[in-house]
Amino acid sequence: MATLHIFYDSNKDIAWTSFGACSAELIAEQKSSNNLDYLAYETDQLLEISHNYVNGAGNGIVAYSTFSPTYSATSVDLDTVINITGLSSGTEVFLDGVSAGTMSDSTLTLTAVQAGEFSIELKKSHFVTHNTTITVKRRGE
Amino acid sequence: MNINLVKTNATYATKRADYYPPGNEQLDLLYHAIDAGEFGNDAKTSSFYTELKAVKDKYPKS
Repeated sequence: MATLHIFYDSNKDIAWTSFGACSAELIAEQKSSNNLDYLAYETDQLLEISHNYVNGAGNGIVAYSTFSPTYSATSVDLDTVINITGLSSGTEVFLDGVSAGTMSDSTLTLTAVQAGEFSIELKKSHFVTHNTTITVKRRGE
Repeated sequence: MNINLVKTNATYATKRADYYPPGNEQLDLLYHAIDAGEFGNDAKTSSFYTELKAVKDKYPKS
């Protein structure tokens, strides 16, 4: 086991880590300059920064949650309404890379008004980003 | 929350194109409108109508 030096922000997101030497001066400098807190974490493996965060007590690591959405369909005809269940409020939905809004409850529907392929991306703090492609068929396809 | 699946560069023309029937279906609709007399009897003398009718008569619905 080795000590992994973790610096994290006020949202408990990990900013950077190092197995190298870490002085008290560096810890103080990171706090004063970047408002990053410090955690000494005993581990024998590297940490995926984008898939873990520091727990509320500031003394451990928590893995990101994963989305488990259920789509009523992912290949549909025009005018079909797709229901997505299994999501929670606070989930930000991106359509083709552009934010389409943040869910205020657990209800999300997609209405197929144009043919083509559409990228749906789900993002939420401390969740692994989830991607799905929706195919909308034009009339007669 | 509902999101309409539409491309950012969509125009009225691209939206219409997705909803139109395929070309052969559009022509068939036109043929049947002529056949029903919706364009008058003169329309039944057009080559559009007579040529399609000739094919339909040659291969009637079984």
